[in-house]
Amino acid sequence: MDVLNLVLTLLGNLAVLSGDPVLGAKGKAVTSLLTLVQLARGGSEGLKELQKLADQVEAMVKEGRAPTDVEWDALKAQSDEAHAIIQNFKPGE
Amino acid sequence: MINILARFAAIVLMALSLGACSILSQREYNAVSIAETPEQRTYAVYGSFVVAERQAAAIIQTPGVQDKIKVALQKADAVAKPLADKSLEAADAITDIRRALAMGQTTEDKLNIALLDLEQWYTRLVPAVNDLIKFVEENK
Repeated sequence: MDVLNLVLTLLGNLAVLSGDPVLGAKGKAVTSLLTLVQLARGGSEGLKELQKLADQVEAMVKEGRAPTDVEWDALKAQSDEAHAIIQNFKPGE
Repeated sequence: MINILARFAAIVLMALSLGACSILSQREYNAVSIAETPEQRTYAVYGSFVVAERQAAAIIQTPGVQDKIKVALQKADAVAKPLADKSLEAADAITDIRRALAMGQTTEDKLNIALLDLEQWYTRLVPAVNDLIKFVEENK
């Protein structure tokens, strides 16, 4: 099951690393997010989405700007849609 | 202001230094490492969370996956989502404050407070994502 393997690969690689003694939990948090790139390994859809996200951020950096309201709204809409699907699940269905 | 930015920079530098070569070589897929400002970085984190969330939604809709895995994903998502949205709001607030600051309509102190707020939400978000991992690992 590609999708399941994809997510388990992603999540399995999002291991909590030991924090920097100076930064403590904060360093741990940011470091673990970097391994989200592993998401790309398991499936083409995840790869495409991560690449698109990276392209978007690269454009922001080149243009010296923050994300626009339109960009934020689009991202949040995707999250809201996925969140609704996840939260609407009922065991046994 | 300088201390706050230095803290963000330190966090990112630590993150980059601990990144494996394979991660650094996959910069094209790693929005977090590309981002330079707190707002861009929050967008990258939120976007990465969305990628994971969308994959979790696909699992939820997949027949044959055990209910316990779906429930674990559901619970972890329920925790992470509000933190992700709070991080979004905090980043958006910073953008507004920077704009106001450029027009002389607010103060550096306001920006500093907003940056601290974002940092707090940001560092609460990632452990929530890690909890998502834990639930899935315990149930796979």
